[in-house]
Amino acid sequence: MDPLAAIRDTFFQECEEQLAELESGLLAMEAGDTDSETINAVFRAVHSIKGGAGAFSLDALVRFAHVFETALDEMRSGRLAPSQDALKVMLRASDVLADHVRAARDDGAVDEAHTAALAEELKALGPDGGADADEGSEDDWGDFEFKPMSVDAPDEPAPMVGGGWRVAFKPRADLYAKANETALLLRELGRLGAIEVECDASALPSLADIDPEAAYLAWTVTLTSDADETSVREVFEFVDGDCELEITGLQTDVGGGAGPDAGDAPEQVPGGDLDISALLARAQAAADSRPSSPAEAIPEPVPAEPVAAAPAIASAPVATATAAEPASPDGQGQPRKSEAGATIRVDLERVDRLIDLVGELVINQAMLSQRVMEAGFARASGVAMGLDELEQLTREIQDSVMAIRAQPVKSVFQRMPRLVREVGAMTGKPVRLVTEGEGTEVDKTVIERLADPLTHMIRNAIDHGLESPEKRAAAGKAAEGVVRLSAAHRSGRIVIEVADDGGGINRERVKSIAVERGLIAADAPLSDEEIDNLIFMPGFSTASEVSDISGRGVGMDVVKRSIQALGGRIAISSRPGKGSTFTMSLPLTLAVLDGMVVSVAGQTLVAPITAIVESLQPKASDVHSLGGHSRVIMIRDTYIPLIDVGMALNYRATPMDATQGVALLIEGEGGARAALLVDAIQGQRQVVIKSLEANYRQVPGVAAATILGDGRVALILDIDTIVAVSRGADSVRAEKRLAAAG
Amino acid sequence: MPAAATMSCLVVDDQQTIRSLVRSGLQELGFKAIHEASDGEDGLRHMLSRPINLVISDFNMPKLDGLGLLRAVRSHPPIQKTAFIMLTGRADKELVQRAVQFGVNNYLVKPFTVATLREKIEAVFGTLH
Repeated sequence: MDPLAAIRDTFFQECEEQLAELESGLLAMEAGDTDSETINAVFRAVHSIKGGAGAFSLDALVRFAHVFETALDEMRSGRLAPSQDALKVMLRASDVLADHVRAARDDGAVDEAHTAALAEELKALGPDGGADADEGSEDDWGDFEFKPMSVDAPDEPAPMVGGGWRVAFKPRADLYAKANETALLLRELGRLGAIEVECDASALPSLADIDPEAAYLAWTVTLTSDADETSVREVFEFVDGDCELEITGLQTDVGGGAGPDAGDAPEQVPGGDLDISALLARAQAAADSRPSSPAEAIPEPVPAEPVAAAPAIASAPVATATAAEPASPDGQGQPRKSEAGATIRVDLERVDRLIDLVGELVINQAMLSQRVMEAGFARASGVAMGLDELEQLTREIQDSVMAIRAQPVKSVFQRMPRLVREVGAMTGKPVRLVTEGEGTEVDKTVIERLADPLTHMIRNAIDHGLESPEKRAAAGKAAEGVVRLSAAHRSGRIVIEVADDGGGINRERVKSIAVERGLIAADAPLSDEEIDNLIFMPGFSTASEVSDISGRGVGMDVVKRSIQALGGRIAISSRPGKGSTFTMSLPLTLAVLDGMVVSVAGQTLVAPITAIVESLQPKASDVHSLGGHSRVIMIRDTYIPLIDVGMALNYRATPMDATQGVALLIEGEGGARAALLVDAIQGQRQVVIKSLEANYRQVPGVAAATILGDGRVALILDIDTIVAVSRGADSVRAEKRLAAAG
Repeated sequence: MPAAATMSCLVVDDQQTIRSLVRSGLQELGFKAIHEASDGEDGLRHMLSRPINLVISDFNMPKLDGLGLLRAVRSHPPIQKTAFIMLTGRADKELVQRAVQFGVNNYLVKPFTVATLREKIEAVFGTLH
């Protein structure tokens, strides 16, 4: 990659960090944080974005960042009070700044009018009420009188650190335990030049006390060689951490090792509120303890250090590395924070391949267990116990591999504060977002597909959930509404909640709307919970006028569908006057599925549990024929189509006796209910999903396949398609009948 | 100007972007030994643990800003005579004036070109005794 392009990438990455810092700083200030370091950090974030943007000639970004920075500078210097109003403007400005950054990165466009409006608002915050802050120009600076001073600079290349190295090497027991061999290391060292080896056996105990696995010997090697320290250190690359290693240049007498004394005559520079002695002492202490940091311990590859010119410091290339990590390969001395979380980028395909293989392993292991059981091995036999261990390991591998795809929900949660601000501004409702459990991890795909439903639910919570400030005041609540977004792991699933402290669901209204739209009968006896759940019905919307916030033709039914498509469930609980809480429970991974294993015409099939509402045994009196093979079943006074799965998948030609089977009441696309008739329920289990398309081809009514413990393939039902196809078939038959009758 | 390859530089900035830009400019000018520090304190630690001939430091940084670093350097005899160039944003004339009081050797305004970088470094090392 072009180095400049690489730096540009770095810039945009840093921008994201700075934008996050900007937002969290402003939010902290809004919450009452008055620490001067907070406003400084906020200022610095914008300042840094502007500085970097200048280097890449991102003029629009620089212009807006400059206006923003000017306003922040006013606040930082105390000329502008950090009032709630000013901070609100700044939070919206941070959103515009983020838009600019992303537009610059993706060559996209920004809303010019919005930018200009925000820029005006920012300027209006200033004491001059809108005076343009001019960029200073270097041209009118005049000449500075830089104080003449002598500068230490090397006039000629510093002498090479020649001669050789003294290597003090003391292996620990671990070194030998890892099958390393001192003799080989010494031989390797001998390749760099002439070596003199001394063995220190003084620690060797008497034969009776000797521990055969302990390490007692130490070596001192004098190496005469031109090799640099890196080459010497490379010899010990693989035993790093398993030995004490000290590599010292042989010319150690230059400079005399007199360390700088922190308290030594600091000429006080005028105007100092800075405790420089203390600062130096602290820095010195840190510098002294530093050689444990690898990048620092190893001299630059260019031996140009003017050793003699800077007498007091770095007297000799002494590097003590008792437990050194490998030196960073680029030697760039990256900031330590980047070393903290070491990461690698891996192609997602490779990870998915691994997940696939582990899925195979799980199946294979289950099959093996079953065979062993069948073969009649005793539970306590070596084979059975070994298998138990294998099962344990397999499960751990599966969890670990799934964890690779897992990401914290933070990536989707962090988009929400901005949404809340925007919707709050549009609806004129002051609102605060509280997030919890941002670190909770879940599969990457789940996170990606969560963004839309969450966005919609939060919009709803503010638009429909929260009352107007006046109503809140009347109800004795704080004017500012609170929307709480939280995530947590609960029994192998992730539970995400969106809660508001608004008025709760107006059940009277919901019921009357549902009656009005013909969704329920006027006299239907519904529990509170059932009324609350009406909002998930297709075509239901409580907004009396379609606002431009929630009204996008998307209702809660779509939210429910997207959650179900992820194998999740959604529920609502509402308390009048206190607010509503939407609770979503999602699987941690999409590679396994909670399935209901059923038998149909001698076949074993799996139905996704998330789609099943309940199961029941049909009574003859409840099942009614509509002519042909169409039947309906009456469940609590409602007629629901009864679909014979065996017929739908062509396992049999004539319908089975409904009373001999089990009906699974399911909720399909658009909330449509249907009952699936199967022969029997075998049980409930987690199954590994195998794509049928990848191995065979798409089959209508079948979503995927899985392999059961006994090695047989079981098909996973695609419930929506089965319902749709059966309905289609019914209507075709109905038309035929109509045609025949006519 | 002494041979760039023999000099040891320290770039102090809290932004990786700017550090990388200065590093790439310095490399273009033939510098080989280039160290990086992410704030003033980190910079000071570098200077106390190895010889540095030239410091190019940003002003606005967390923990210890550029002026603080400059003052610490100038008040500590072992590192006192290290060349110091301050990186500034625009409109920071006042800042440069303060830095001059504390003995800065030159300044560099962001964004900068490699030519300006060279000019400023040469201005400093031209005054060598």
